[in-house]
Amino acid sequence: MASQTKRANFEITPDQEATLSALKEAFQASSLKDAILRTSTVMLVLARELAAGKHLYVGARSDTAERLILPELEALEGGWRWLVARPHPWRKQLWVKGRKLLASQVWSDMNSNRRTTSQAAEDWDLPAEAIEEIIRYCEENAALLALEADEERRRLRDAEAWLAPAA
Amino acid sequence: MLTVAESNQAGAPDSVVLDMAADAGRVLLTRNCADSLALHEQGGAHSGILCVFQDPDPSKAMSYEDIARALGNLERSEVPLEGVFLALNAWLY
Repeated sequence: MASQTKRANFEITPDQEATLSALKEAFQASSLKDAILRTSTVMLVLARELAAGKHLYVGARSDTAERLILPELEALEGGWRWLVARPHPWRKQLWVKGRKLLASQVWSDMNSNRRTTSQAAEDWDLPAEAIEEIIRYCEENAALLALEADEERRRLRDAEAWLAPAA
Repeated sequence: MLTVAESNQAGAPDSVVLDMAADAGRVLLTRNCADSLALHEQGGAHSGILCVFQDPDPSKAMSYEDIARALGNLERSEVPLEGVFLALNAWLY
């Protein structure tokens, strides 16, 4: 039986070519095609595990392993559609996709101004579905958001930005 | 007043927004306190950064009216803002 194949052509930049070459070397693959296919298999496994709510940890020993954040995969965690992880020196909460906007900023703004979902959607120019997801995420991760708020407040105090006005 | 969305910079990095505000001689009002503070500490010139801290206690979180009142208090105090970073929450009274 003749094999059914298709030719796949795509343009790549010199940087992307270098990345693919490094990938081929890392996998000790016989060709770029082999490297891409093997990488795809690995990424699909990881993506499925993260989508199921699992986390990635790395370390020399299991008791010292640290959570590994891969932004490309983290967005799949929990099945969030409108939220995404981003590299940040200390924040771990998710951001609104395509915006420089933390999930907690929308949530806090809604709570302090007693805005409904539809009002918040209008305020932030986001679909109501995105607002509903933000609420669900923030409620499920309230402890994390509180700790990050504490960390932010500590940094402000250390920088003496929290100065009370002169009496 | 000019919002980030109105200036088509909704997804822009904080540094770009701050530079834009500085070039226009505008004070930057932001909810992203920690990242704005980090930019301020890099030492670049700006016309002032006011941050609104997200208090995890809902009773202390600033509403739009609170922000407007705090801005009024700050303005009346005539505190110079050039190159200054302030948490606006402290000006709500």
